Amino acid sequence: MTNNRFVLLVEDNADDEALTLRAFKKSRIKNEITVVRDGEEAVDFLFASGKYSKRNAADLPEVVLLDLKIPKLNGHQVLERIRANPATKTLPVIVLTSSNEEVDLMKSYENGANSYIVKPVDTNQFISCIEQLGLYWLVLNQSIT
Amino acid sequence: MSHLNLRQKLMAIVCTVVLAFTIATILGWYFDSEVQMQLKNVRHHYIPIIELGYRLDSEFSAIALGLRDAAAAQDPAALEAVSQTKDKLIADLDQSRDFVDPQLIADAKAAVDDYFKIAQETSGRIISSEAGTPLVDTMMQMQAKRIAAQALLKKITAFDRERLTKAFAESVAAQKYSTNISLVINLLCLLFVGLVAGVIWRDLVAKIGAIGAGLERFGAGDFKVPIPVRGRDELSVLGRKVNLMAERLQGLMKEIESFSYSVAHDLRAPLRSVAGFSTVLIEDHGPSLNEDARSSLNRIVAAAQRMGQMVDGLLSLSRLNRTALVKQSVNLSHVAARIAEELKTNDPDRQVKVEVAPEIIASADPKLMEVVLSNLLGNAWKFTKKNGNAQIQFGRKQIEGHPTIFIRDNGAGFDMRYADKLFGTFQRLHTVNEFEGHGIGLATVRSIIGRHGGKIWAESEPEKGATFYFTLD
Repeated sequence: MTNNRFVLLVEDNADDEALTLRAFKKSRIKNEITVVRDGEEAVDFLFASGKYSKRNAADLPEVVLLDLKIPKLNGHQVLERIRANPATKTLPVIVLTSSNEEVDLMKSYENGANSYIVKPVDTNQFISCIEQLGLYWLVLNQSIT
Repeated sequence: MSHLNLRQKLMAIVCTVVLAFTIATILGWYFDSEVQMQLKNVRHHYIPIIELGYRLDSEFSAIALGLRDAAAAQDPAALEAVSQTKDKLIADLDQSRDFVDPQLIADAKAAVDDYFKIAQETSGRIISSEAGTPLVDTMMQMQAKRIAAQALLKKITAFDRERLTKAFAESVAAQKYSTNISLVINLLCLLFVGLVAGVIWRDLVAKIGAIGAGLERFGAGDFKVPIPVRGRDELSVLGRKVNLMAERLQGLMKEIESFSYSVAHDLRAPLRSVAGFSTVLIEDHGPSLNEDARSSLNRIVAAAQRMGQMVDGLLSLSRLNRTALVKQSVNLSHVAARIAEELKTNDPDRQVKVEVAPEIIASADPKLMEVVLSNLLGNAWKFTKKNGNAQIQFGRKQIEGHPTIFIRDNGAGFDMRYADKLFGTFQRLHTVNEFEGHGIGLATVRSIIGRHGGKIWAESEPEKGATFYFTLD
């Protein structure tokens, strides 16, 4: 009962993107991964607006991996937009960030994040973190729709 | 009151004291002089009356005695002398007209005259041995007249005494009244001075208290409420200056906060890349690399990880410094025992004897004390790893009158020459190869103890273990 829809990765750092994609590949998670590089692009993608206006808005990802410190709209603002829209209100959003500041943690959960994960510096820990995340959200978790 | 400065307030107290003292003195002097006047009055008016009374008494006795002596001596010249004394008595009686009932004086004069006349006659008859009315009868008559005159004179004298007594009683009462009034005035002045001083005192104490409370809040990292400042005195100026300082401090702390936020976010990302891509190289191209290249890559990965831990340590140190201190009663023995249990669970291969003294209770922030004890006990655990008979002791004793908590181990210890480096950030007295760690633990501990207003120090000798002491005043 694997959830086959794609994963949306909101990440502006190309290195982190490459490492995340590699971790997914190594963890044998087969879901397709779409990458957007700033907050505005993320919102446009999800709501099929702007340069993604041709996209089918009903085609939502299984899960969104959201970095907080991204250009234009930051992660908190993106999360607010996602929760404000009825179509994406229940979309699982995992904050994947370098920040272990309490303010960020508090604000993310207040805005309705489903998880908050601090990216570890240690590569093996990072891979195992992505693995567990994939296993939980893409295999075990049962989401609406 | 609050618009006066400190010097003006103190001047106000001094002026009030001087003013009150002056008023009390003037009023006291006024009432006292009133009493003195009354006494003078008594002396001027009544003393002559009394003297007159005594004179009347003695003159009358002199008359009676003179008449008797004249008769006995049968000397007409002596009789003449008595007549002079009688004239003096009459003149004295006339003098007392100002203050004795005139009717009484007239009666007394008549009685004296009567008595004298008959006494003179009697004495004359005795002297000349003249016959007539039997002598005994005349003498009886004379006796009666003498008693009558004496009684009237006594009445006059008594009258004087009465007035004198009354006057004295009045002056004594006046004196008492004056003393009471002076007392009341003094008390009122004292009350007034006390009131003024009290109001100023309270104002000063309240201001000093507010500044103290504010400093305590600021010291604990709570800048929400500034020191309440009103008025223009020196203490209010001080309060305002402290508030300005606190504002600046708060600004600086916010800067540090945003700095550490940047460190958290921006410094860790490239580190992840360094570690991550080195790992990619090892994993994807490891077999085609020679041993040197693989070893170098492993070193890069290890270094990146260590730096990641240091960044994390710095961040947690700055976060601890930013969280407000909440003091409450903490059973440190329970905390220490729990941490010791955790250390044993995480490192089951080691045999360490941990002794925790019971019921060490202190007023401190429980979360921060957890950090302190886990660092100190963790260090003791770490630095005894080469000792097969490792012992760690947690206890409390009095040092220089302060309850001091200590953690003693019999591990590697350190050279006291480097004791000052012990609590510095990123300072280590052992190599990473000997004992793992990144030099942030004791810096964190010192910062927490400092925020509690306490002190931390250590005593040690290489290979003989170390003892860490701290107070929480």
